[in-house]
Amino acid sequence: MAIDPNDEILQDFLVEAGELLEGLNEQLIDLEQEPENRDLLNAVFRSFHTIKGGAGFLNLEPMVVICHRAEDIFNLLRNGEKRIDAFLMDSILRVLDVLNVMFNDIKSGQDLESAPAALVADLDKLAVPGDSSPPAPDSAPTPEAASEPAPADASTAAAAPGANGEITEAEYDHLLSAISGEPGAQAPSPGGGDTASAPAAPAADGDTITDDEFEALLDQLHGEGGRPKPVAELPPSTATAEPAKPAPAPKSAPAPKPAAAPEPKPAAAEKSAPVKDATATKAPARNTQNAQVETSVRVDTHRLDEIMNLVGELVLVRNRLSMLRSQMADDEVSKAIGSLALVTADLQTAVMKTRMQPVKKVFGRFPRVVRDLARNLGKEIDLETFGEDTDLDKNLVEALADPLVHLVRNAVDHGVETPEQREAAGKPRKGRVVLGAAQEGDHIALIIEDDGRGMDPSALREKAVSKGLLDSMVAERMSDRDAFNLIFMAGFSTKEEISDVSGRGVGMDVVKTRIAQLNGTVEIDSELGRGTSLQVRLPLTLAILPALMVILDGRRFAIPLASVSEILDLDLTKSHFVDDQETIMVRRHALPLVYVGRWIRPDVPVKANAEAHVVVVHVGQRKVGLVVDGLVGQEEVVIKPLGLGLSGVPGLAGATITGDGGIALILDVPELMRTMGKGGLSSRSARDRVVAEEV
Amino acid sequence: MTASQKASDAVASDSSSYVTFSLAEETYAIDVLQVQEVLRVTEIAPVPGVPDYILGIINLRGDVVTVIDGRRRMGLPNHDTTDQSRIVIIDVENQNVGILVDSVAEVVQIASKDIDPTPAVGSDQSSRFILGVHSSANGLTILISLEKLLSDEEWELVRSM
Repeated sequence: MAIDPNDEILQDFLVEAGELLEGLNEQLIDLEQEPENRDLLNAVFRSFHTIKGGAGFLNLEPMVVICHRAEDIFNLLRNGEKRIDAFLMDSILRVLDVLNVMFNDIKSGQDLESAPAALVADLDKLAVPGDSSPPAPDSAPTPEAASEPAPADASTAAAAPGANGEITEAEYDHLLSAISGEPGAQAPSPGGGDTASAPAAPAADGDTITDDEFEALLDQLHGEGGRPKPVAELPPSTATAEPAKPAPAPKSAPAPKPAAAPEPKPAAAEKSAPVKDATATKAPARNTQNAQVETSVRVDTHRLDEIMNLVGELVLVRNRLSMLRSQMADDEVSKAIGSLALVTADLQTAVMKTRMQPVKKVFGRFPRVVRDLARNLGKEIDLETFGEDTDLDKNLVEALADPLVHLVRNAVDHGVETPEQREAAGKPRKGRVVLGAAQEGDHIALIIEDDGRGMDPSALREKAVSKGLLDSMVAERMSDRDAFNLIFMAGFSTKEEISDVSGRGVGMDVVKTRIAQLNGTVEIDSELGRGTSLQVRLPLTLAILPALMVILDGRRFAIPLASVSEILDLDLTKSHFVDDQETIMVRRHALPLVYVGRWIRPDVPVKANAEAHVVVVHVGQRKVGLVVDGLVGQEEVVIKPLGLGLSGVPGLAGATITGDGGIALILDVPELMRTMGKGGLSSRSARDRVVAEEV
Repeated sequence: MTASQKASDAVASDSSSYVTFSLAEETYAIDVLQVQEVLRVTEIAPVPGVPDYILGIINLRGDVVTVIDGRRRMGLPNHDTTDQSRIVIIDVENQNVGILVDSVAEVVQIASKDIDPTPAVGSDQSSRFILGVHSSANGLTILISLEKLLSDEEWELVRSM
């Protein structure tokens, strides 16, 4: 079936199922930690159930096939007929991956491929009560799973009736035992084209019911039957398929709607129920869920971006008016402009808030990342997160995802040691990786911490020297903190072998660049043997930037205020050349000087002035003095991308429209330092050229 | 359908409107559908570290638009802007780009059959942008393609920087 990605119903499904899938990711990892958590089991079951329902409605058979099996398994789990082990968990996580792939296919309007047969077969194996016999050698049960004394038989599960709020355990047991004879869970639609996707399905025997019939039955109980009364006891014989069928009829008699529940049962047994029944009965179930989320409205992000842009324009107009105000003596106008400025500021904050998203959106994927990685590497790691509710601009949340994944992977791969090494070092076997977020004024701080082996600053220095990245003299003088920062240098990888986990030494460099592009900074601290801590600081929003406006070559330029430390008036004729780098002493510290003007207009000499304005900017731990021609003041600027073909110009972060309608370029300070450092623009020869031209 | 009808249909569908402008005494033409608007020369903010044919950026009602020097791009001698100078805003890949030209003349209809191939003038860099030439009573018009104007290696280089 061709999928039309523009279909509204499909869109709704994508949004809803997308959220569920995201949630599943987290829930599953949590579940691995506490396999007994009934609420979690139920939540997972319901998520699969809802996705399946939507997919069924939209005729997305491959999705239905796979969700259905997952649902079956979780049904067994929550009834205590099965225990979670590593193999099961892996299979379910694979289900999630497959679902995500399908999901993206739907989004891009492609036809779905049927689920991998191997996975379906595995799931079929798992959908049997009792312990799964793990076929894979690596699926030794995790400690949690092994220590878990889950009730394996139906009668103990029935002893806690009504625990899940929707349907009693006992009733599920009946329904389940009815199909337990046929774990192969036959393909839902006999007419559908998905028979290939269920190659493992055994031949149906007389007393089995199809998935959809079972589904219809569940829905009946779930949606219409309300909350059936707990059933006190359960005949022990229901474990077999034969007596199970007649059992539900008497059992559900005390339910509020006795007629509804028993009826589909015989129909199911006759295998005559219309296959699409399931989709029809799904409606009530969905409605009950929707009722809980009525307080919020979904808004297209484009619309939000538009509003943000308009507010940006408004800020510019306000800036222009504020400029005019100083020229006008009119009191009334002045007052009006003053209140406009206030309202605009409030509006700006309000709009910014609508674009805020909790960091949870990014953090949510990490339990899975860490778990998979740890398993791959044979490590034992606990991931702790805090501050997930910290809000951050939506664009930032998206832009942050990749760098953060990289940092966390690094912590897991390079940071935390293997259990054996940890024990030898007198640490607990289980490593700890902390991922946190906190708001600090107009900044957000993200912390990635591990209690692993830490970094050895002298090893880092040696490495940098041996790779030719650093002079041995420079390396010796380098502080430990600076040495840690070496890992952000291009071409620096501390691990001897390249693993597919954390890249080829380009990663950290890229991470740093990406974060710098977001006007953020990364700080690193480490203690050998104790662990490493990375702190990423980012502005709360990307769209509006407080900046210091300066004049260079008669034009305005904006320097992001975040990187400005102070502004000094210095006598630059008293500068020195250190290693062919012009430097000036400020409060007994050497401050390298950079003549930005020489970069902007290489053909026009910039003289060393006796009364020069120097903007001290900080890049990481380093401080650099930018020599500018004049200072204008602080302004909030709206970042606009440079025109076509100019988006990647080094040293520039973008442009902005100034209060008088002109254009000011926004300097990208970290990039600028990199570019200027190569150009030798602070060298003696650059200075001498100026002097020569003067003479 | 008669032969003459066919011929006139073909002419109708194969002729396009072009905006003509001049650069160093020559008349050039670009497809009118690509032209967004024509501006008088405003303040162009230079951008450091870009090829010299990029003059800088302008503020087009709140949007930042790159402006290219038509003369430099076509390998023509440099010239100060005059009252006649115009910035032609064109649409390339859904983004606006401005070209500074000496003057903008008119919109003309040119049938594709009247377009002659570029005369072979060696491998001059400007010939890459030229689609063909059209001669009329008013003289020679050089038809240029803007995709080509903006998609050579140098351009790629600027983009990838």
